[in-house]
Amino acid sequence: MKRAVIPHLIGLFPLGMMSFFFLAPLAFMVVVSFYERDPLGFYNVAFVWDNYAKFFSSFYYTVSLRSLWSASLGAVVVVLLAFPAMYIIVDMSRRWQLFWVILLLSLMCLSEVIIGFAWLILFSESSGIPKFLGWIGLWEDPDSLSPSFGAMLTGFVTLGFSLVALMFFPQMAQRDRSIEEAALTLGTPPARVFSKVVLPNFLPAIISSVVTMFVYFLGVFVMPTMLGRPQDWNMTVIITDKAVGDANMPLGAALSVIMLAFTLIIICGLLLGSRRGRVQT
Amino acid sequence: MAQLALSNIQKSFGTFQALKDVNLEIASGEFICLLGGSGCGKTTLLRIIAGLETKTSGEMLLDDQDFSTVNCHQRNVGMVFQSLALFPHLNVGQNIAYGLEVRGVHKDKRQDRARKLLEVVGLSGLFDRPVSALSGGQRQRVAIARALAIEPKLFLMDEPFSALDAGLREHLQIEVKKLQRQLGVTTIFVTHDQHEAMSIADRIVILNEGRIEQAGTPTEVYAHPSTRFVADFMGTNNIFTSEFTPGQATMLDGANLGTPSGDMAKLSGKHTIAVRPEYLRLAPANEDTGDLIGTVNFVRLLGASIETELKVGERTFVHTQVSDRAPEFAVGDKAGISFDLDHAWVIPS
Repeated sequence: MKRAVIPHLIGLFPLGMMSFFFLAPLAFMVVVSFYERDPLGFYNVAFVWDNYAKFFSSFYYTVSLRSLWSASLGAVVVVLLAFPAMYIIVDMSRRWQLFWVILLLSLMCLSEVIIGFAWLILFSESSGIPKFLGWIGLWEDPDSLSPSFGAMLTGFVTLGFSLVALMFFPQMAQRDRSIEEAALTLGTPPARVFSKVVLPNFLPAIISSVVTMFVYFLGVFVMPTMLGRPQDWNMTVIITDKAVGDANMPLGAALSVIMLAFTLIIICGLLLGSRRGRVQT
Repeated sequence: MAQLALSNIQKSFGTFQALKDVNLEIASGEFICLLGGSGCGKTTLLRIIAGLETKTSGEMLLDDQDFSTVNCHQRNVGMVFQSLALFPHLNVGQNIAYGLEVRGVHKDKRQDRARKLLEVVGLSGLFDRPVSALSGGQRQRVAIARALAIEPKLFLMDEPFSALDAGLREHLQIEVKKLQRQLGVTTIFVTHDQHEAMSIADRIVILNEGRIEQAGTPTEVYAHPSTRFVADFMGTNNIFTSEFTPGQATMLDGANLGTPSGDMAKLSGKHTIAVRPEYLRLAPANEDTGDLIGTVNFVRLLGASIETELKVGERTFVHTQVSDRAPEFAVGDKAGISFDLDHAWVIPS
C-alpha cells in the first residue's frame, strides 16, 4: 500500500507546482484586469469593467479577428505542409529518415529570433530571394518582401513545421500499411489512397495538430514584430505594447483574459466537433 | 481449364531469392492453401498475385490473359490481410461497401449488397457499428465480407486466423470453407498451420525456401509426402533410411521390419521411408515383440489422441493412439515397435 502511495505523492508535487505557477498568475491577471490604470504608476485597486469595455472598440475587435485569422491560417498551412512531407519521409530508407529527423530537430533548436533574422535577410531587397529573382530575370524591379503578412506567415510556418512534423512521425511510421494495400486491392487508384484512406484515418491527429498550432501562433510575439507590418500584428503584440509600452497593466490583463476565453471556446468547439464527427462515422 | 496459371515465377529482394521457379495451375472454384514455414515465400507469392509486389520474372495468366501487367487496383482480387486492415474511420457497412463505392455503384445498391453479405457472414444488425466495437471473430467476418463484396475473380487470404484462439479459428475455418463452396470463388489461402490447411483446402501447395515442394490434395500430401521436408512438415515423425533387398526382409539398424510387397518389393539398396505415427504398433517388450525395442521417453495427451515418444538408440519413434483409454506405457517402459510395411511410404530421393 505504502509503495503505491509514494509514487502518487511524487507525481503530485510537480502537478501541484505547475497548477500553482499557472493558476496563481492567471488569478492575479484576472484580478488586475478589474483594476484602474494609474497614469503615473502601475495601477490602482478598484473594480471596474472599463478595461473589458475597451475591447469592444473597433481597434481591439479588429486586432482580435486578425489574430484569430493569422493563427488559423498559419496552423492550417503548417499542417498541410508537414503532414504530406512526413508521409513521404517515413517511407524513405532508414538513413534518409534519420537525416530528416535530425534536420527537423535542428530546426527546433533555433530560437524564434534567429529564424526571424534569417527570414529578414532572405526577404531583404539587397540580398536573398528578391535579389536572386532579379538576377535570374524573374523580377524586374526587386523589392523587399518583408514586412508583410506573407513574410509573417512564412515565419509562423518555419516555427511550427518541425514541431508538427515530429508530432506526426511516430504515428505515421507505425501505421498499418496494409490498410492502404487493402484500399488498393479494393479498387482505389494509388493517387486516391492518400485522400480516401490515409487522410481520414489521421483526421483526429490532424485536428489536434491544427489546434496546437493555432494556440501556439496566437501567442507568437517575435515573428509579427520582425516580419509583419503594424497592421499584421496580433493581439499578443498589442497586449505587450499596452502592458509594457503604455504601462497599462489592467487593460493588458483584460485583453489577455478575453483572448484566453476566446481560445478556450475555439478549442472546445473544435474538439467537440471532431468527436461528434468521429461518433457519426 | 486452369483459371490462374503461374509459370516460372521468380522474385528477388536484392540478393535474396524469395521465389524460385514457381509453377502452379489453379482451377476455377478451387480452394488452394499455400503452406510453409515463415520465410518460405508463401505471402510473397500471394502478394504477387494480388499485385502488391512485382515478380522478377515468370508468367502469370488469369483466364489465359496476362495478369502481371494489370495494376493492383484493376485486378479485381479480394484480399483478407493478416492484420485484417479494416478502415477504422468507417463503420461496418461502409467498410463492406467501400469497394463498391470506389467502383461507382449507387448507394442503395451497395448498401443492399453489404447487408446481404453481413447476413451471409452472420453479422446482420451490425451495419452501423464502428469496427472498433467488434470482437476478433466479428472483425474477421467483416474483412471477409469486404473482400467478397466486389465479387472478386480471386479471393486471397493471408493467414487471417493466426491471431485467433483455437476454438474460434476452427469455427471460422469451417465457415470460410462453406462460404467458398457456396460462392464458388477461386480461393488462395496462406497458412503455416498444416492442420488448418488439411481441414479447408481442396489442394495444398507446400513451399520451402521459395520452391514448391509438393502440390496435391490433403490426403496425397499427408499420406504420400514426396520429399522429406513435406513428410516432416505434415507431421510424419518416423522417417528413416532402411536397407532393401528384393524379395527379402527390410532392415533398419539390424532390426527386421518384415518383407515388403508390391512396388516396395522391387527396391534395393538404401531408401528413406516414412511411417505416420498412427500406423506404428506398440507392444510390451518380450520375446515375441521383434527386434525393434524402444524405451518410452515421453508421453503426452493431445485431446483426441495420446502421443508416445520412444528412443531406439539415437533414433526417435513417435506413436499416436486414440485417447479412449489410459496410456498403455509410462516413461521408462520398454516397448516393441512394429508397423506394416504397406503403411510405409518411400520418399523419392
